[in-house]
Amino acid sequence: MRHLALLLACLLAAGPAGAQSAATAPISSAVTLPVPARIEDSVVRVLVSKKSVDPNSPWQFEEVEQQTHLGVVVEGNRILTTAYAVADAAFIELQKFGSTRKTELKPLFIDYEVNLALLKPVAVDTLEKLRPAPIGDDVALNEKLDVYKARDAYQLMRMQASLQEVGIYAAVTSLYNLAAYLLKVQQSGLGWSEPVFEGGKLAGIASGQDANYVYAIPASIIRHFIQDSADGDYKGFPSMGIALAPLVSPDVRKLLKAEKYDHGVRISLVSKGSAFTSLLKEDDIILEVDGVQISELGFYDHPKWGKIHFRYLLNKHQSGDKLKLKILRDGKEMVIEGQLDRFDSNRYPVVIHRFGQPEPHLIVGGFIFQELSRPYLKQWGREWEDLAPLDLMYTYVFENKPEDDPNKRFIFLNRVLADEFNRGLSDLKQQVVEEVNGQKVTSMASLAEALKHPVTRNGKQFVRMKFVREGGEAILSMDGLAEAQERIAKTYEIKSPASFFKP
Amino acid sequence: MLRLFVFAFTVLALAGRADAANLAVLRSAVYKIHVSSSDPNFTDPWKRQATSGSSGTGFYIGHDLIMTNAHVIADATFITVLRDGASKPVPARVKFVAHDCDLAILEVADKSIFKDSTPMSFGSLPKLRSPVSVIGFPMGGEQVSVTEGVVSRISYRHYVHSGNSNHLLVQVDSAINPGNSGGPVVQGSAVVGVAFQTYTRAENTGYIIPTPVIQRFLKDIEDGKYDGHPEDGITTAEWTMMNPSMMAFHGLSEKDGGIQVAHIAGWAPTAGKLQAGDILLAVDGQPIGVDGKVLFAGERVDFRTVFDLKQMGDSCGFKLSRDGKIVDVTVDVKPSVPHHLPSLVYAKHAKYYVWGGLVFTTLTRSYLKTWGDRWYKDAPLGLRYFDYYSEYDPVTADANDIVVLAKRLPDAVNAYATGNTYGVATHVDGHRVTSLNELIERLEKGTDEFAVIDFFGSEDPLVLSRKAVSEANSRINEKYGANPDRWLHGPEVDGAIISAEAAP
Repeated sequence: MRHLALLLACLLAAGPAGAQSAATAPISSAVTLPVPARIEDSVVRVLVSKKSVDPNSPWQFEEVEQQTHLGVVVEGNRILTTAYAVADAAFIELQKFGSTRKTELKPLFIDYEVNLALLKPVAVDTLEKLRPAPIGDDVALNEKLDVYKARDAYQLMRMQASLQEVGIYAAVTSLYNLAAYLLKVQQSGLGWSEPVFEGGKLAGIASGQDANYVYAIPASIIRHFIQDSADGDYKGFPSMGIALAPLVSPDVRKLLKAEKYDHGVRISLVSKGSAFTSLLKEDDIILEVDGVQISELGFYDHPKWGKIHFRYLLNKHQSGDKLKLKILRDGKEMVIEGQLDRFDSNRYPVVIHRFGQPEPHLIVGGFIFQELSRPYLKQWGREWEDLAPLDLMYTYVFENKPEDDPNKRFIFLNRVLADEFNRGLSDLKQQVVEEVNGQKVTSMASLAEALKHPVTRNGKQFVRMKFVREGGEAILSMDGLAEAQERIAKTYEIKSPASFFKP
Repeated sequence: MLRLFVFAFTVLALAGRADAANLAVLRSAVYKIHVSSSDPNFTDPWKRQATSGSSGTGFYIGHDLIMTNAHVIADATFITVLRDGASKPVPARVKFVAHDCDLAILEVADKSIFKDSTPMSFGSLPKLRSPVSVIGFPMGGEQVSVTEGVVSRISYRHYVHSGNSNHLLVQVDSAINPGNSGGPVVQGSAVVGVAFQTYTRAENTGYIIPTPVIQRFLKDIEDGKYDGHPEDGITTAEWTMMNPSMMAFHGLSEKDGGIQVAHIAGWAPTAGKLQAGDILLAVDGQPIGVDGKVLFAGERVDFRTVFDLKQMGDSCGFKLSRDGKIVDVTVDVKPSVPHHLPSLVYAKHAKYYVWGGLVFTTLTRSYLKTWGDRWYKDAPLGLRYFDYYSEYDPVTADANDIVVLAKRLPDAVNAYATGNTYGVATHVDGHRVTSLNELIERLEKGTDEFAVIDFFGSEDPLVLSRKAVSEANSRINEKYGANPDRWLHGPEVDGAIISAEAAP
């Protein structure tokens, strides 16, 4: 799944997505297929101006970026697209293919975990000439599908695709395990928001691409998302908060007293803070989910898709639903029923996405403290997983597990804005904070709280900061801190007073 | 860590300024060293790599002994020395090797080659801008080469050969090229250094091992064995004590200088004596500046130089500020507790153990380099992390070895134990293992029906039936040629010494 995210990141780096690049790209030599009129009435251009927070200087925004995506008109005068397409949007417009007229859109509902968004026009009457596309059913393997991409600002382009496989992957915007179609398409530059049709019915929306496949969100997930959002009480997609390990080794099977069974998958980890935390244990074996038998790899037989991981059964549920499991614990069969929780990527201490939200930060005497986030690590470019600072990557990969405290974060020192006040300390950077003024720091709130209790030494007050691993400590005097911060705000043109600690 | 790569490679020997009258005498003591070597194979550790040839320079130091660089003779299978002007190479073998400071001493079977050869004597640490002559056999010709330059810098820096140690070194601007390594660098008739490495990203940047490091080596081996430079295990934060807040908090003033200790490795001789948070103000009476430097032979060099030049059994005095009080602490200089070192290995084989076709080895820089020149990016994250942060991370801080599952030799017994490749083994049957020996003992002496091996960051342990493994071991090892099934000598067992002894 990380492979997919990486690929999207590198395509982005290569150039803006969608029609902007398509306008200058040579027209494919492949056979041009006619685009049915009803598709031209349902698939529209979504023009997005993006304003994202600069993760390295969180008090400011990155340069505005223009992206062109595709949207599909659905029932109720709404436009469906990917969450990624409208993430960090400052301004969104709709344009019908062949028309020069633009209509402003507003996000109605976005779920980054499943990478889907619904938009609506600001003025109601503007969708008159557009027709909603019906949402289709699950597509069988090897079925022929059509993927639509913008050829330029005026024309859609239709490409043939076939469904090769259905797998479970996380979207670029999330850590959620979600079913995805793997489509064989002879075309690059896809995977952002391109609609997939089976005849006249929407079969999916492309959400990623690698060398061999375009990944698409299946219609059943789209329908689930639209239905859930209809009543204004969005429940979201659930997870169980467990990790699984294949149970193929006869030795392990015997060790777990499961040698009589030829199916069932081993639970290798039960996360904290999940509805199943108290119900399941490591080394429990899941035999059945919702009455469906689960294989030693965690798969079940789907009527149309063949063997698929049972996590898709969770995709089909809403959070709040009850889930019934048959498990084997210490050789004994048990039936367990639990209530499914909504999956939230940001339940993990390393922040996965913060689209449209300000980046929490605090500047103390030039020291910039932030929450460790994936957008911050991604600044190291295409190979960020190999090139970002080793101890921050280690924290992201090995220490990023849900804790009892849902607000747990890794607070780190990004860098120090050099000033006379912090001279000698200004080379410190990229260190995870252990404690401040003797108090453990596990969130921006706990940092703010710890700062309220300066350490007294030699009759004066100080802020004392300690870093994990080899970082040592840094000390700032409370005397002169306010003046230094005023100077820093001026020198570095940091205009938001909220960025600074108030001594 | 990228710092470690700025020095691109060590050169195989040459560098200098000797006056014309002396040159003939000096030349009589210079030897070209030819080496046939075979490196250990770090992925199939029971094998060795193909043999290759290389050459360097050495010089006569009396007592029928020749001094050269450790990297000239590392992993040697056969060594010959050829005196400048002579026609017949003479077999030699390694008598002492110091991989940490890149020095070695050779002895020869035929001592007649030293006839009329005047042993070279050692001078003192050369002064900045003083002229030097580098003598040796660099690439680009057969005959001895003499190049002249001046001393451009004296510092405490990285010695590339060991992969992880820093010592005093002297930078010169003379041409130093492959083949120069191990050659004498002279002033007048005295040796002031041994040419050993260059900085390939800059011009006219050659490095020589200066006499204080050479003298320390010679004193170390007086008792017939090499103990090595002591490891201080001190991580410091440079410059922080120039900050007014830091000074006010610790009750120190600008004239105190000092450098703050960020971490003390649990395995180091300083453990229990120095502690994180201490501000080191002086070492052996020499004041330490906020830059962490002391005055040494007229130059400002890292305070560690003082500790680094000690012998085992010496002591080292620190004046420090701790909790607002000035205290004097004496550290007994002694060998470190065995621990992971991010260093290159020069040994007949890497440490390894094969059990049920699972090949375990220990994490070393040499092993990481099997991922290629860009190992610091391409090797698995967990291994890169523990290589760099082992002394700070509780998982590894007190471990003697970091045990890695290097590969699986496929067999019916391990057909379903396929995961965790490149994982760090942490537990066997629930017991923590902190060395390869401990892993072996737990696997072999455990009595549970199944051996359960846990790996760091993995929730999916390897499980193998002890009975099935004991029946399969000899079959697997024979099938894959993994004989012997283990090699447990540490890096201290040098390939060159073993090979030379085996040679006639």
